Amino acid sequence: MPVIVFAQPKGGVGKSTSAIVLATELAHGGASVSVIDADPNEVLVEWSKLREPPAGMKVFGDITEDGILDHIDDESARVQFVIVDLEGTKNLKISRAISRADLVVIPIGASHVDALRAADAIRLIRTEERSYRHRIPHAVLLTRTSPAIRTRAQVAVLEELHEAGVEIFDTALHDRAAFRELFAYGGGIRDLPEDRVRNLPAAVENAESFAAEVVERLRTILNRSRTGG
Amino acid sequence: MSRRGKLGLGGLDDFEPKQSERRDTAAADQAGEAHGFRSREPARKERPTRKRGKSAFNAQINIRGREEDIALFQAVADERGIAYGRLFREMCSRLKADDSKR
Repeated sequence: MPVIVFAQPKGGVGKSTSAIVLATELAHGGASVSVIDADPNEVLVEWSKLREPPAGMKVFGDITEDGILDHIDDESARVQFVIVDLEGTKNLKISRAISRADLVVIPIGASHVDALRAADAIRLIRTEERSYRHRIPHAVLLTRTSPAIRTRAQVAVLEELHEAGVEIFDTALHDRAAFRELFAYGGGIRDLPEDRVRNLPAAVENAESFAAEVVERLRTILNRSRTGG
Repeated sequence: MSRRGKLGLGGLDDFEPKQSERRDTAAADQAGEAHGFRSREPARKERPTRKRGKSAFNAQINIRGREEDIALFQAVADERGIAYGRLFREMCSRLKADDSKR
């Protein structure tokens, strides 16, 4: 049921990577997952052609502005998790998808420019919240971070977001070879050849933590909406 | 199917398929528009079906005249950007009006 929308009007921030990481981890956890690839570049559709996606997971492409909401509605009535990936521009599909989101994930690299574009997405979410008189939970996901150090830029961006009252995922997706290799091999992190990808177990651990945090947030959100809180 | 501990004990069975709450698309579009999130698809403009009334200029005469008069007639029509039929009509009605003033 939960619709998870990856929204960030800037490209190259790891949106598709984090969407795939989450989708494959949820499928690995035994869930049925539909991925709606609403980016005209259809990176995820291409990914799904490299190797059969994990059992229970399907990827849909060829999504138009007029068709996106029907797709989301159809899939959320059919599967346990719907994940929507969007183009890294300011486009109408983003505002429409947000109207159905149970959780919006806003990936950013540790840079001021990425944070500025994330702010655009957050302003849009807040306007939709007012229009629909309904909370649209959202949080920023830091991507491509170094597993070893916190750069000065990273600390600055985190402080900036904190001050703006923006929620941030505790887990950051690190800059790991495994995440890049997903688009060369297809499948999930766990399907990658261990002998060819550097430090694969660390990437699996990272992917698992991210998925677990999303699930935890969703449980809190859904419980809150069930109890009307 | 494998279930990993980190995703929660008992797996993910507590998440069930459910009809999502349908909300008015216009509000999302308005919010998008307000923040510069606009359509990226080519506008599908309905081609207006032009209903053209039947032209009244549907009779024809064939006039023999001097070449220079015909050239002048064509030049005047070109200068005014009007069809020969309309120029002919205007010329005739002006002459008629002049005659009646006399």
